[in-house]
Formats: sequence, C-alpha cells, structure tokens
Amino acid sequence: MSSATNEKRGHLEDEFQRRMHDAEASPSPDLWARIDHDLTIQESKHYKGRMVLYRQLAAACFVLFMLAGALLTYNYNSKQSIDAGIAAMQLKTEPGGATEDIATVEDAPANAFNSVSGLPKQGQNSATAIPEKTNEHVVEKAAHASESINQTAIAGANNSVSKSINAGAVTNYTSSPGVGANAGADYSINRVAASEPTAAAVSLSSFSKSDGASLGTSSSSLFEMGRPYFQTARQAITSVPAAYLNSADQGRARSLVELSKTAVSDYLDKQTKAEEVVAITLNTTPSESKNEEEAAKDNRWSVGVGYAPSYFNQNIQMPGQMMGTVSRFSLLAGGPNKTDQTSDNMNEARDEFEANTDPAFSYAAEVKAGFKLFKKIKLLAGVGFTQNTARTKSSYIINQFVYKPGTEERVAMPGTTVFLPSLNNNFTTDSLSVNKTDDFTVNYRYRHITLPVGLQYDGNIGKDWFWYAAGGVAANFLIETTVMASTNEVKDVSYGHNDDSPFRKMQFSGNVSAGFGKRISNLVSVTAGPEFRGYLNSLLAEPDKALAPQGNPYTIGINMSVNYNLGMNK
Amino acid sequence: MNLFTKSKSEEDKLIEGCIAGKRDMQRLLYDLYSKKMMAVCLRYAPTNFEAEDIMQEAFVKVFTNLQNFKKDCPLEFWIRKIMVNTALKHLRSKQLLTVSHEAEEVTNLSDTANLSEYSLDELMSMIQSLAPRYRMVFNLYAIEGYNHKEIGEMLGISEGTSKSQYSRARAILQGMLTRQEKNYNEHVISN
Repeated sequence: MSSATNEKRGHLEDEFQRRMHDAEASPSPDLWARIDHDLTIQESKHYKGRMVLYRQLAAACFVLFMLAGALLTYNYNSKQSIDAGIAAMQLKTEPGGATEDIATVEDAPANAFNSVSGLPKQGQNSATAIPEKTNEHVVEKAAHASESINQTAIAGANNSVSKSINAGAVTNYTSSPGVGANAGADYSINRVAASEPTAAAVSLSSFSKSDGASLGTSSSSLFEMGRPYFQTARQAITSVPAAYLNSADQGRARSLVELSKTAVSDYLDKQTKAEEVVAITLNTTPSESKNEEEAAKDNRWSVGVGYAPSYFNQNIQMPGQMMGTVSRFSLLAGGPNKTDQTSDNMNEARDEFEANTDPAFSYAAEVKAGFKLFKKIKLLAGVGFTQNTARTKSSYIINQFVYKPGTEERVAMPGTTVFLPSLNNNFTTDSLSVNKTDDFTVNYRYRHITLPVGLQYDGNIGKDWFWYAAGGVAANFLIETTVMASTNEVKDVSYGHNDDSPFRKMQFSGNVSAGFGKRISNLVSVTAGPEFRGYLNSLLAEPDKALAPQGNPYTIGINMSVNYNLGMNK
Repeated sequence: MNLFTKSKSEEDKLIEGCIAGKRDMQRLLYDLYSKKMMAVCLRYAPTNFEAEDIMQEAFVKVFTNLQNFKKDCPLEFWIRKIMVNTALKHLRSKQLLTVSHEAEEVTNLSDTANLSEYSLDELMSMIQSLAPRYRMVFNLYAIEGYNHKEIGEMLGISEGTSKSQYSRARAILQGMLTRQEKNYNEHVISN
C-alpha cells in the first residue's frame, strides 16, 4: 500500500518535494515582453472603462449645467419675456399696426418738419393748411392706432422747433382731446407771435384720447411707447428758445408748463389704461394682474424634502446548478463522482437562496430644489441618499480553504454563503465545502448617493388639494455595500467606495411617481404617492462574468415630501 | 533571491508599486519570482512552450489582482497558487486531463529512492512524462503538499479517486527510477 493511501508521506514524496519545491528554471528572455504587452492591453481596457464612466459623468454634469444656466436666464428675463410676449400677442391681433406705428414715429420728424417749414411761405393762412396736411398724414397712418398720430406729432414738433427757427413766427400746435383714431386728431392751432421776429418756434403736440376699442387693440404698444412719448414732450420744452421763455408773456410759459403737465398726466393715464387692458386680456383685475406677476416672479423657486420607504428587489438570481457550474471548471466535468455531499448541499443552498431572499426595509431621502418652468410644471433637482436592503434566511455555510505548501497547514478562508461566490470566481481557492447549520439571516445593504433631476406636473383638485405626476432620472453613486450575517461563522463583508468590489460604482436609475398633495399654507405643501424606481443596470459591474444571472434591481415605495415655496407671503 | 530576505516594508513598497501600475516595480517582482514560478509551471505543463504560456497568463493575473492580496500568507505562496490554478485551467482547456492506461503496467515498488543522483532536468522530465491527470495529482500531493481530500475538491473528483491516481503516478515514477538505476548499473558494469 502506498503512502498516499495511508495519508502518510513516504521517502519518495519527501525527496521529490526537497528537490522540486524550490527548484528554479529560467524562462525565455522574451517572456517579460509578452507579459508587458498583455498588461498594456489590460490597462487599455481598464482605461476605456473608466473613460466611459467619466464621459457619462461629464454628460450628466453638462446637462445639469445647461439646465441651471437656462433656468437662471429664464428667471432673470422672465419679466421682459412676459412683456415681449404680450406685445407680440398684440401685434398679431393688430395686423401691421405696431409696425406702422414705428414707421410713423421714424417718419414723423421729416413729415412734421416739411409741414412746419412751409409756414413762412404760406403765411397766416398756411397755419390752417399745416394741421390739415398733418392731419391727413396722421389719419392715413393712424388708421389702426391713434396713438401713433400723437407720436408723430410730438416727435415732429421737436424737430420742427429746431428747423423752423427762422420762420418768424412761433406756431404752437396744441390739441384738444379728440374722440379717437377713427375720428382723426382734432387740432387747435395757436399761433403766437415771437418777441424776436427772426426766431420762431413751433411746438406741436397733439394728444388725443382714444376710445376703449382702440386701446384694446394696441394697449401694450401704448405702454411701451409711453417712455419716448414723455421724453419727447420734455425735449420739446427744453428745445424752446430762451428768448421765448424769457418773454413777459407768462401765458406762453404757462402754456408750456401745462403742456408738460398734460403730457405727464396723459402718460400716466395711458399707462393705467394699458394695465387695465392687460388685465382685461388676462381676465383679471389690474391689481390681481400685478399681484400675480409679482407672485409668479417670486414663487418660482421652492425647496422640498422627500422620504420614500420602499420594497427593494436586488434581482440577483442563482445559477441553475451551482455545483454543476463549479464542476464545469473541474477535471471530472460530467463524471460519476460529482454528486457528493458538498454538491448536494450547494444545490440546497442555492434553492434556499432563491426561496428565502426577501425585501427588507429600504428607503430613499432626497432634498430637492424646484423651479417652475410653467404654471403647472416644475423642474426638480437635488441630492439624495438611498439605502436598499434585501435579506436571506439561510442555513448553509460555505467554507473555502487553501493549503500552504510543504507544511500541510490548512488555512481556512472566512466562511461565507452561497451569495458572494456566485458573483465571481475565486481562482485562489483550493477547495470548498458546504455545511448545513442552524438558521441564520444574511442582510445585503447597498448605499448610494443620488443626484436626481426630473419634472413634476401639478393639477388642482380643490382649493387646497392637488394631484401630481412626476418622472426623472438619477445618477447613483455606490458608497457602501455590506453583506452581514447574524452568525459568527460567516464573516461580514463590506466594500467601500474605493474598494475593489464586484458591484457597480455608478449606475443610472429612472423613477416615476404620482399622488396627491395638500397645501397647508401658501408656503408649505405636502405630497404623498407611490413611486417606482428602476435601475438601468445590474448591481454587478461585470454581470457577464458572474455565475448568477443578473437582472436590473428596482424599488417600489411610497414617496412623501414636504415642499416650501420661496418668496411667497404667508 | 528571495523576498523573505527583504524587509517587510520593501515588499509592501513593491506591492504598492505594482498595484499602482508602475512597470519597473512589476518587472522587479517578475524578476524575483519568475525562475521559481517557471519551475512550477514546467511541472504541470507537458512542454516548455505551454509552461511559458501558463506563466504569462498567471503573471498577468498576479498584477491585475494584486490589490486582492490580503497579506495573510506569504506573497510567494499566493503567486504560486495562481500559477497552479492557471495551470489547471490551462490543461482543462486543452483537454489534456484524460485517463491513462500506464497504471496498468506497473505495480507497487519499494519506497526507497535516492534522488540526489538525478539532476533536476531528469526529475522534471520524469514528472512531465506522466499523463496529465497523474502529473497533476502527483504535483499537488507530493510537491505542493495537499492531501487527497483537498485535491479531490480542487479537481472535482473524489478523495478515493485522487488516492488511486496518485498511487499509479507514484508507481510509474518508481518504475522509471528503478529502470534508470538498472540501466546505470548495467552501464557501469559493462564499462
């Protein structure tokens, strides 16, 4: 009987071990070059994998940056955008009106100058001809907007004062309130003799009050044109020659003062009317419109805190035949000796894992900032933390061993369960045995830092109640993975963010939720509703290399959040 | 040169350098262990070419998995384990582990052997001449120091099968040694 049969080492074994164990042989000189080449290829693959991760991160950062920039731009330009939008809306309802108004304003100086410059030639009688001519021009141009006539007249007056300085007479055109654009402008002309015969100033202003219909179709244009209107009136005053202002005729000076007062009051009146028209357009009172505008400006931002207890399915299954998979790498694959006790226990452990793996308490907590893109649509982004947990009730322990050469010293690896060996191949393990013990529990815990971004739509149900529907995506960064057992025979395993672990460091997830909310006050509202969060990848970084089939994990839970509206009055 | 003669800190620095991907450190580690590991690979592989293929693949595994080395055993032992497992995998992929009938030709011989008279190349040639499965079991039991239960679990065979195959491998080697000794004695007498 050999020593092997007796489990005793004989002289032959000792001699071979003495001679061969520490024997040396020289490899070929180019072997290192081949290894170097293989390492370079490996590093290249690793580098490419990291580049994919960095590209995804860069893309996510870019999207977030662009969204933030767009929101800020939108926020700061919101008021101007609203005004421009209303103006554009008015332009559409008034074909060619505003365009022609602007053209009229630009053309007005020349027209007014031409008409006024003809005064000296035509003498006294020409005074009546000028307003008629101007009136014709104004009526022609103001077929759609009566205020363009006023602009024309005022702008023209300013120009005419400087151009007709040698006219020998000051012609002051003041208008009495007209009846509207359709009626044309009703001008009364006051021709005032200048104290200096060679100097003349023509001040022409025509203010006609338009009827409601006219305002209704060009209110925004009026609102915007008020500023040049007012400035032109002031310029008209300052453009009057000093000699004229120093004259003893207080009535003329008073006339100019009254003129400016009239211009100011008329501007304010028009501004009020414009606001009224805007309010009518929006079907609100002027004060409400103002309040809503302020509210829309101030109420755009909100912050919220959310908490979502959930059910978590890690979606990691067991191979069909665990021991068969192991035997695939053994010498006797398919041979008669593969079904021993270890093999049976391994298969039972696999079945037990399949049957007894249940969800455990999981949760997600998020802090989000909200920005109202539209009245009912809100963009949400923030940061969060998720802890997903699953649990297996098990009764099998896998022991793995390595043997130190020469000493027969058996080194036992830490005990584990069927879970971790199914995730990878321990090529340094010499052997394994599967033993049945008392029941114990294994918990799998995955902790992520999440960066969510999404959209939420709100719809009113009542005064205080509303419903919502939300959806979004999130980048989830794995910070810790822990496999904990309730027995001391199985060693707990924990992977930190920087540890080499079989689990994916970063994965994207998508989530949808819907539910109901209640406004506690103008500032605070609460929401609650079911939420589904599905991960777009498996938990393992390289699922193809794992023995166990890998699916994408998901959670189903209840999302509860408290939202605080910024900038609103209580 | 053996790393055991080096201070622990130097070995740690060497490992850290290899993990960091420093090629000069990796080359140093290779130089330290390449000769011993080549001898290991030669014992498992039938030819020098295949031994170098095994060693190449194994060293790449060493460098890409060195961060998993827990330092609960000597680094040389850890590297040797990777060599052995890579050799097993290599031979499985080559379908070389088939049952041989050589065992039928031999019987148990005496346990007396004096290998000092044989060169290392001669001993290596004897081992390499064994059928792959016998060579594997003989290497694992006689030289690496595993027992048959563990060899059976490693190779996916029963403990009894491992004992049986080792017994046959041992008998073959003893027969080789006996024949060599007989030939040597005849050669000396004839001269």
